[in-house]
Amino acid sequence: MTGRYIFPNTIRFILVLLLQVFVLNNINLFGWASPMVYPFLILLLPINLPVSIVLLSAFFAGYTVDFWSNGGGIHAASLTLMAFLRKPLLTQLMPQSGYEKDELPTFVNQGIGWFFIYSGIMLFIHHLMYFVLEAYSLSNFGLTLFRVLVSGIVSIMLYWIVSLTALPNRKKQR
Amino acid sequence: MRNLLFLLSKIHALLLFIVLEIIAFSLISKSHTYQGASISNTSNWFTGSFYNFSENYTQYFGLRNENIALQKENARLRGQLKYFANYPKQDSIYPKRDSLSSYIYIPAKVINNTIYKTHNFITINKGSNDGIKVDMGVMNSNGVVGIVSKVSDNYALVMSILNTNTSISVKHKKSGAFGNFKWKGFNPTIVNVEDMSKTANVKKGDTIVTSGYSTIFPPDFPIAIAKNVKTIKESGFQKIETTPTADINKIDYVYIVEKIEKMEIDSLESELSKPQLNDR
Repeated sequence: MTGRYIFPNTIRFILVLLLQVFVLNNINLFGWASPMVYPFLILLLPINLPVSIVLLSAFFAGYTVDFWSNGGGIHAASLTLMAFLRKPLLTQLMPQSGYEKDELPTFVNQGIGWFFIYSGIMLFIHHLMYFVLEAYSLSNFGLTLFRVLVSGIVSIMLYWIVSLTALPNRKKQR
Repeated sequence: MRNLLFLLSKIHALLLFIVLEIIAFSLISKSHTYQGASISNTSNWFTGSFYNFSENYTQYFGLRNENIALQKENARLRGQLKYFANYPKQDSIYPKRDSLSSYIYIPAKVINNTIYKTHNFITINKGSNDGIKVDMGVMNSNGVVGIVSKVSDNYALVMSILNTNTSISVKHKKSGAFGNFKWKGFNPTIVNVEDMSKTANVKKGDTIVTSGYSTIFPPDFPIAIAKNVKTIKESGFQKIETTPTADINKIDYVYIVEKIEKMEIDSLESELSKPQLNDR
């Protein structure tokens, strides 16, 4: 079931992680917003991919980013949490007709509104965990929350710009 | 049976999740044990050499500004040279050396740097092979940059002044009052000076310099300029917000400062004076 995903997803993982580590990690808008696209690697995995594979991919991707950016394990911890909550959220957001077999959770397949809610909630979970761990304390929580929101908005906007310009008309891509 | 399998499949995901999170959290807590220093991934040889490689290509973009900065520093040092040329020679009432001469400076290049995190680190391309040790000070020609927190053979990780765990002893240049230089996070252009007595009466535009209380930095080296000063009633302190004189976002080249032990200086000088005696 998943065999045909391995090759394109491996390439995508490598490209996105390179983009994250060598380009985006060097960008900081206004000094406090750091765009993160690597959560989309996990967001866009096929809907019925086994949770264990999603979890392992998330840990791997997160730890790779940590390795290159002195993160310790904060990217890995936050991305694994997001990956774990992906299945329950997908179940909650399931349309009445259900998902098709091997469907990808993209805005082309599921509609813009659906995808906005899905990616918004997922990114909020990831960013919240990430920035709390990064600050390593719950004091100054307002500031942390502010960073979560600003970085989340920047990340979503970046994803939309990339996907709208780079992936035109790929309806129902499997 | 089907229910059991379903349950198992659910539980195995949960178990995997817990195991992965435990691994991640143990990595995080490990990274916070040593003086709050992050585990030094970008100072290990693999990532270090990779960042060094990419820095070799990106450094050209900053070359123009770097030249201007070096020119300025040269001019400043030339001015000092003139001053020291008139400095009275030995066996006068002046001390043999001033406090500056007991520090040595090792130049290094910044190969990785962040400013948007709460705990920011800088990776430099010099390590224990070049004599870098933990707790050495790092500065550039404009001001203080940070403190070395972890060293590998060829690279070192520097806790930048934009790291909420960094605290540097400073003093107000005019009054000589002491304080603590500490970043609150968030804005990279604002660093607070804490615990400075109200009697110092710091004004906007005043220079804050290193105190020399610790041996990490030479005394009286500029670190920040006061930007906003508020006097808090019912307390002996002022709330001082300062702008660091070193622009951490744009640093390319830095100096690592080491205080030479007094004994070391003395033995060095006695060695120097021997051939001089023979010449006479």
